[in-house]
Amino acid sequence: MMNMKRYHPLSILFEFAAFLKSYAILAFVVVVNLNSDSWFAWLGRILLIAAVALTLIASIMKWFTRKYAAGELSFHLKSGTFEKTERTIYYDKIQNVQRHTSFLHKLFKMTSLTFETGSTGMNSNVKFDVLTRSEANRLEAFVKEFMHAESVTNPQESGAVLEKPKRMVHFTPTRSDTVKASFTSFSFLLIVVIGASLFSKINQLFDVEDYVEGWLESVLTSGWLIAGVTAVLVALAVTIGIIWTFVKYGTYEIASDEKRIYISKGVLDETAFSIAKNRVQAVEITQSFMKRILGLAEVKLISAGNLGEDEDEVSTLYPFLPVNRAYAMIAELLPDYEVITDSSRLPRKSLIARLIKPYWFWLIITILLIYFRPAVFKLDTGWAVVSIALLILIILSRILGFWNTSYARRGRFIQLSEGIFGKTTFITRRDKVIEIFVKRTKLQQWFGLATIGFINRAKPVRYETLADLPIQEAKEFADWYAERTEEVQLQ
Amino acid sequence: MKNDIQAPTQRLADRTVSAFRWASIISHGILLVVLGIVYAASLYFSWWTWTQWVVYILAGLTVLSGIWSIGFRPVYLHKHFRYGVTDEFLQIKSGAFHEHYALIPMTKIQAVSTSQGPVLRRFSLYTLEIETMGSSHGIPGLPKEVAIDVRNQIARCAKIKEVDE
Repeated sequence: MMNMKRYHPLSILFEFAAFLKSYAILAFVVVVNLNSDSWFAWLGRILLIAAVALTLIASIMKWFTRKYAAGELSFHLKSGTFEKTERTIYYDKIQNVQRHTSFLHKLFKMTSLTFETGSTGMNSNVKFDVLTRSEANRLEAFVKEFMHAESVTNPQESGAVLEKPKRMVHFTPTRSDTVKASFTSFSFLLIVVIGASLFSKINQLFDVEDYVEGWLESVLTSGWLIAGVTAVLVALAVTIGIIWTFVKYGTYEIASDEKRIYISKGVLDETAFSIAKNRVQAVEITQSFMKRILGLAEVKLISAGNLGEDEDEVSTLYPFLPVNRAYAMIAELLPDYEVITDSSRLPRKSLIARLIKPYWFWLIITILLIYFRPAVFKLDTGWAVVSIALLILIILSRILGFWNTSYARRGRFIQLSEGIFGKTTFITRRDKVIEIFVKRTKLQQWFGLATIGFINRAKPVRYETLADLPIQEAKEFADWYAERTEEVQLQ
Repeated sequence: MKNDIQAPTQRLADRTVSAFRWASIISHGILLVVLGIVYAASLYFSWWTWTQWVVYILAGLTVLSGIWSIGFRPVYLHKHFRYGVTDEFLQIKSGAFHEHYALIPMTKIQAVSTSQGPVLRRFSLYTLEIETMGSSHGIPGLPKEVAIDVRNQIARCAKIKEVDE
């Protein structure tokens, strides 16, 4: 048996800190009510002390029983105080690596590391909550060897000589990028949120509403004062917005070497993400309406492993890239991939098919409106106006949806674009698609159209569909997929 | 049909029609019996009158659904269902009003199982269930030998793994 290591002793502290964070409000209530003698306050205090003591004991016991080892091919993990568990995770199953360094980690010069596998269920990852940086580097080095499948089948002997592959930085945001990002994300509106929450909190404590109102009235009498206050507020809003954007996106770095892509970001909370190029299942380019106007785009790499919650989403290349730069970056990072810029729209008959498709939603709403006949805008016929407006809106969104839909298939790539106001483009490779389907409703059969769809590995699994493609194209799509056997390597 | 997608050719056993009919007759019969009991109870214990209305509506729906799934659905299902197994792909096509065609690489199949309920056992038929990484599919109503053959063929081909999984 290889020598198993305990986790870093600071994990006890970190676990305790996490516990404190989640129970801070409860603890605060109990502390504030310290003078209270009601049985409820007593109960709270006893429960709190018990919880603190139990958590401490549990985390210490957990630290004593949890062990890990990094072997030649796999991680071995042992855990469990009463019920022992042993897990073995092979390196070549790992899809991506995330390193997250929170502010607390920074204080102690620690970091955390998560290895994500493609499997589903509870134990889909290997997570090290607290690690020294050198230990994190050591573990990551083990996995990196195996993260790309080719090296498993034919290990390169010259690899030992070229120990350090050339790492190239593709993008770091300039000051103007950050300013642009700040305005695109409307971060200057943040001051309203902060101000409102601050005011409500202060008001709760000191009841300053009347005072502020009087003060406001005296300010609003003078034109110069209004102008001055507005200017200060605007400047403050913009500054806060830019600072916020900088903290979030300012230190973005997109880099790659021959085999892997590295994305790191964050000032206070650092996150680093790395994925092997051949483990990228697909690329998704998203443009919100605002970004479309400004010619910006967000590029996301789809991995079969977990990518964290929305907020901590780490697989995104800088979310405010100029469109051309975004396309170029995809080509630089993934030489295999290519964005097809002249993808074709659907034929006119699919627009007609989409327009005469039943308007179920409108029908249900209209039946309800006819039944209840609510007076909208103080008009008796208001319900009819609402119904007609809704119908127009739906028709318009169908036309826009048609306008933004395009489709291209070239070589082993397929690219779908869809959207109403924004636009999402999805690009993937034939060998990364795990299943396809073609569907036809009766209406589509009359029009000679079909809906195509394909499934990609991701978490959760990605279903991409494109409605109302000509049947001929759909057939070719199925044939195209059947030819995937040409490029798929079997083990 | 001229516009047809390259269709797989294998069909379900002919007796699936009767099997599905019987399954629907039994399930709808049970539903009607349950509704009858509720109706009787509502009369006997003199519940609110709206409970009786609910029973009427549910019974009506059950009858409608019965007409569809005893009279028409088994025939349509059998008539339009096709499947095909090659060394590389599994193809399943079904439906008339909503035609659905799936092309699944054998290497992406995770699990395959046969199952048999009481009605299917009466007709000595099996349901084949296929799970992939992203979805699951079923082939309802295969004779025993065919079901086991297909299952083994899929199992044999699915054993091969692609690089990069």
